[in-house]
Amino acid sequence: MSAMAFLQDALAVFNAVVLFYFIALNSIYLILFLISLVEVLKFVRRTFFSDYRQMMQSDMTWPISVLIPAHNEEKTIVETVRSMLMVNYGEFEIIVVNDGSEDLTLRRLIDVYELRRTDRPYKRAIPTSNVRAVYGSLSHPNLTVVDKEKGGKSDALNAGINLARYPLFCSIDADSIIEDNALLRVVKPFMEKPDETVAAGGIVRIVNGCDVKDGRVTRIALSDRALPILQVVEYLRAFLTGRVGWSNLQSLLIISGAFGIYRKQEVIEIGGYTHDTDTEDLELVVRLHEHMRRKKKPYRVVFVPDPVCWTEAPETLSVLARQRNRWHRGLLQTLWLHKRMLFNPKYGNVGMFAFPYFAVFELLGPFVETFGYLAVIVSYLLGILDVQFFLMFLAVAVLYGMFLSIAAILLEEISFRRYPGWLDLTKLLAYSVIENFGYRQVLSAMKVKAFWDAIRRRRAWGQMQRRGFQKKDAVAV
Amino acid sequence: MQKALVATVLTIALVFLLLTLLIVLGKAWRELRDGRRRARRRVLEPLVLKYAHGSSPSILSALGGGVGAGDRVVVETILLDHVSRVRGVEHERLCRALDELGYVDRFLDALSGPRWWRRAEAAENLGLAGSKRSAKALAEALSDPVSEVRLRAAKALGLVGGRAAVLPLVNALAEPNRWSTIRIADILTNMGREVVAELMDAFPKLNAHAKLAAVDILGRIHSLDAVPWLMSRLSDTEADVRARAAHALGAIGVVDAAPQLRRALNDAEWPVRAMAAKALGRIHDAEAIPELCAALRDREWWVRANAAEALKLAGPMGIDALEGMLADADLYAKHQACLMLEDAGILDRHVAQLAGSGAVRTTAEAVVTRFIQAGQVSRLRELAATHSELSVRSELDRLLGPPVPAPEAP
Repeated sequence: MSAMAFLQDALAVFNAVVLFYFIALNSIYLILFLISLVEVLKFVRRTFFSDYRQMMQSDMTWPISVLIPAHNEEKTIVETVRSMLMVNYGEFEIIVVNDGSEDLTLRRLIDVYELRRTDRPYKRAIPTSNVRAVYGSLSHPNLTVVDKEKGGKSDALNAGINLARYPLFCSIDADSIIEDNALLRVVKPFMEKPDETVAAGGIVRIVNGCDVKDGRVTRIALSDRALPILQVVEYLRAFLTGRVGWSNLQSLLIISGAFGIYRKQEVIEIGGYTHDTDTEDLELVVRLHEHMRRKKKPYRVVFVPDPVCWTEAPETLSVLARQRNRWHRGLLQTLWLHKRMLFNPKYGNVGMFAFPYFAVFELLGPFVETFGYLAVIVSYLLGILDVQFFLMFLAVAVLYGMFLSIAAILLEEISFRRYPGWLDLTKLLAYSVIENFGYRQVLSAMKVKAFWDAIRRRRAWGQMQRRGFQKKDAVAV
Repeated sequence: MQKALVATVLTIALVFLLLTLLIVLGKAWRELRDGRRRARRRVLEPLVLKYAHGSSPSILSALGGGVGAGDRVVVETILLDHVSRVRGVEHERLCRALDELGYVDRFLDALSGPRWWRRAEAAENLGLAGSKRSAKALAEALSDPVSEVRLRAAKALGLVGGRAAVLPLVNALAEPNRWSTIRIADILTNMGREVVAELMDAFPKLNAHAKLAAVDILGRIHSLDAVPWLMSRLSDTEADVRARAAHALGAIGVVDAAPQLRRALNDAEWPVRAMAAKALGRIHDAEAIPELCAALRDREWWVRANAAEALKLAGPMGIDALEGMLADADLYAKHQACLMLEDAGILDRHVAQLAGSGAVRTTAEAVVTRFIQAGQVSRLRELAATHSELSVRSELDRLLGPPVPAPEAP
């Protein structure tokens, strides 16, 4: 057999694998989309009847400790805290954990919120690095700032949990802004089924392009840059179709670290956030599943599609690459740490569906995807590109992808309609096409590199370069 | 094969185009519809308000004889928007308009419709319309299979009011959905004293969480009629009921309940002890000071915190007791006393007295020294750096000694 013939055979086999992979992946997406469609419509109808005002006024609504870990966040921390202080909620406390910042994060908080040192007890339910001081605010009694030595985001969150007074805690990124009623919306699953709900997360949307004033998003619009818009389409697909679907199947593995709410007792029982992965949010939820399954108690981890947390998205490829590198490394580390759950019926839907999906499609999928595209190019260069294969590949990899993106936009349009302008809608529709020609492929390549980095045990935090919310005459990013 | 492939590609492309068209047309239709409704509202709203203000004898004449099919939704929205905002005669007129124009009948029909969200909406609207004749249908809707409908019906019954609404609402406290219970509890609380007797009568038949809600409601209504019953609940077999009863008695401010609340400080369950301490603070019971001092040494943080707060609220005698606790052997009790004295501004007052002389100064120094011995020095260090009087700052510096790296809080 000649080398060319062998290559042809090898490519044919590989092509078949790639096609099967894309068909399987997109079929799962389609099922998730259909589930999400039903669920989102149900949710919207229920939201119409929500009593958020009554919930806020009721003294029976669960109080919440809001934890904001901050490391070198001097540009955004004041705005983030201000947005939190203005949130519509009855009883809540805000705990900012300054995790060994080297910039003026702590100084800015002290100055703006009139902080002074207090002797508030710090119960070390979860071990953390040394706490240097606890500050209370003279102007805002529900604001506390913990100054501690650097230990990473998970350590900062654990310190916040140790200091939290209330039975529920909410983790929020220091560069995020949450909407007025977001806490009320996300706490609702806990109010409805307090014995079962252990965690709930809300949708994260991209603030780039929006106007932000005094810690509030005052005008919603898409960015003028391509990269943030591509991420908007990607986030819509991931949150509105992916997480809603998984949540409905009781298999939600991710609650975004940017905005999630948890029952403190269960999190303390499992030892809080771990330092062993780069994505502590994902790992915590997986460990909660494992813990609750082992306890054999009915429980639920819920995704609520309406509470909105606005966050800054990377505007350059290099920052995006670092962010995605960290996310993918975290995924690999988490799946590896909990590999016993894979195809383990003891863990129900999580072990039998969600875990295999994440392992096969989210973790290893980028290899198939990247090498699939390469195979098309190599076949074409060698003059052995099979037209049938190419058409099929086009259908399942590109057209199907476009269809799913447009479906996510449809879901957004029939439910929340956050982007009211025609221009924004046109941009979203256009980018749902464009993303399939370059962006998705680049993301796959980034994930392949992340896998490689994880194997070589490279760990870096993928520092986000913040531009801050104040720009263009107090207008946002 | 190739034909099938082309067909697949074309199908996906067609679906893609159809979805795009659906999105664009959907948005265009919505915007046109909303624009038309806004325009009609600008015309019809002044006419409806003219009727509400009494300038027109009837809604039909105000609207020129009737409502066209295209305007039914607009008029309904205007009426429902305003009926929830106004009171008195205007409210009555708008309610009557909803009935006269046939909206109440439509809501009643929708209340037994097949779609749950229509039933929920109908129940909500019947409540806004204040339609007494819908009370029976709303009471029946409390057993609707969908919780949102039950909740709306409960809210509507609360708005419609009257004894016919109370019993179904009390029974609805047994809803498995906690948020429904909370909302129904709020509704019953807002109905006030008319629900007290029904709640107490129904209590034995309620389930566990409905019982707790019932006790809470009685505390929130502040009805003195419920006091003897609440005092008897302090010896209930359920710890949660005892705790809520203590809380309710504190909320009402029943001084006569003090002896029983003091006994509750020795309850085996910490939530009862915590709530009893809180209630004693609310009724400012000076006789409870020795028991509250003992509660400062409780093994549960909430009991200690509530006892300290209660001592602060008990007035000068309570403050003296807190100062006395600074010398206590129990570290946690000492700590709570420090926090509360600092919170009440007593520490600042003693620090200011360090500039004085005689017994006052001696007492001040003793208190400050005990704070230092308890390790509660943050405020003292701040005052040592910022106090307006040099002599106070010097005294504090002397008592505090050289600054040491802040120890980790216990």
